[in-house]
Amino acid sequence: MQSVNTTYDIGVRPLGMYQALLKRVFILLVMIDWIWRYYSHLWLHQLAPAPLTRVLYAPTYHLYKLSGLEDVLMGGGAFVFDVLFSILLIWMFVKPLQKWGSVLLFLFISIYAIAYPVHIAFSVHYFAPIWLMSSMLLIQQRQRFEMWWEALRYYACWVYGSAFLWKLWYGAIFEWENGMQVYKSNMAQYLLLNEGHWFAGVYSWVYQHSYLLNIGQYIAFGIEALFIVGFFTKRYDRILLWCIPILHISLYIFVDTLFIESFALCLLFLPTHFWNRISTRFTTI
Amino acid sequence: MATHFLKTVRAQQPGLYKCFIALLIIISGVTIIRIEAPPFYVWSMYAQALPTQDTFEVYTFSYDGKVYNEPQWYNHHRRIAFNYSISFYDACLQAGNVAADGVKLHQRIAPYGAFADAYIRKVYCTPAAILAYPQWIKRYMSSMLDEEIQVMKVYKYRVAYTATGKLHIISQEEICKV
Repeated sequence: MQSVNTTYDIGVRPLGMYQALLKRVFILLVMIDWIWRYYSHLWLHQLAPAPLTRVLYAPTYHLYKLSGLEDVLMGGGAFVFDVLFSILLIWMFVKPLQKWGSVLLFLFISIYAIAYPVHIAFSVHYFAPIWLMSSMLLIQQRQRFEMWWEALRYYACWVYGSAFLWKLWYGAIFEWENGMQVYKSNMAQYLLLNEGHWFAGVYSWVYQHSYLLNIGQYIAFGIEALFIVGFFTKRYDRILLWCIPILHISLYIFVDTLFIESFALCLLFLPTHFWNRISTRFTTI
Repeated sequence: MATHFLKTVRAQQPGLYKCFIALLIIISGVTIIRIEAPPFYVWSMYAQALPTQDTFEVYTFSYDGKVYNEPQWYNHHRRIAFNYSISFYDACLQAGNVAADGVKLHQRIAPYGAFADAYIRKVYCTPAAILAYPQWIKRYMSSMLDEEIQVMKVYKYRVAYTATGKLHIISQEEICKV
């Protein structure tokens, strides 16, 4: 079903004609993140040899170890990997529909998404949205791409919606003081090291009005729950789009955790008419 | 509507439909078993209420009389390599200098004797790797800060909040020094 002059999309959005544009925008976001990760000393050659590794029960992490890929990367191959990854990003930005380049880029993103959490010894989720969205690079055929894009949008709704459902299941939602506990646990390092900073004074005020933190927790739960609506309609996609940065900026301020890569998920909630306008403005894309 | 979407895919792209169903089964399986299997993540962070606690642990990286502190938002990812790895390093020390994430699996597969030992040795970090961590974090931070670090110390603080939201240090322990 096609979107025809509605204020919101219905059904599978006809974005196949903008496949190159969508992939370019996504690759641009990955490039920005990759540059920021260089500044943050998270490229594999910057982490190498990173002997302390944590894999728990994750099959892909176990495979990373069993296959010998760890030995290759940490034994000197990491620099080559990082350079090739960088070149690949630039190449694919120029030619986003190139078939083998797309497969290679997805492979490089996957290897990085596996290797770096193993070597910083925690299965962090920061890069997860980029890894998951990069699966679109494997799809070339127009209709399949449109459907894959929709599936990614549903998965984004699952990311936040399931986070809310888990809180119901495990009970965090029933603990009024949990917001305060989460704050105290996560902000301790900042407060220990920045006692004299003016913003520590703001935290001090918030702490003395702890109900604000607990209310904030429930607002965050509510934002996560909103994404369940995304399974039924795209009518509120504009709201969901803004919920992502609002949620993650709040998490940064009160939980000291910045899922900046999750902003890439916002692309999935942009309506067809947005891409129409962008494409008209950049006619060569 | 998600179900209508699946019906559309089934009608127009049967191969893709099978792929989606397979992914749904895997995601459901991972969700039910609650074992994180990237790229099939379980988004259950902070789903369990944190236990009410009065004291909290904080790790700090001290080097040549200074303390590493880059609290700005754009330095967030510069903090993660130290913050996550030191926590795991401490857990390994407390587990008796073995990989803290492999203890339970090792116990489960111990009946398989030599195979179990070989698998654990290959997949989980070894005591030698744990021993090598302090030198690595010193070199890593040195490289990141672009400073030649002479002496580095990692401290574990136990802190408590005062009534005004400031921190009171209960204890300070040196975790490692190089």
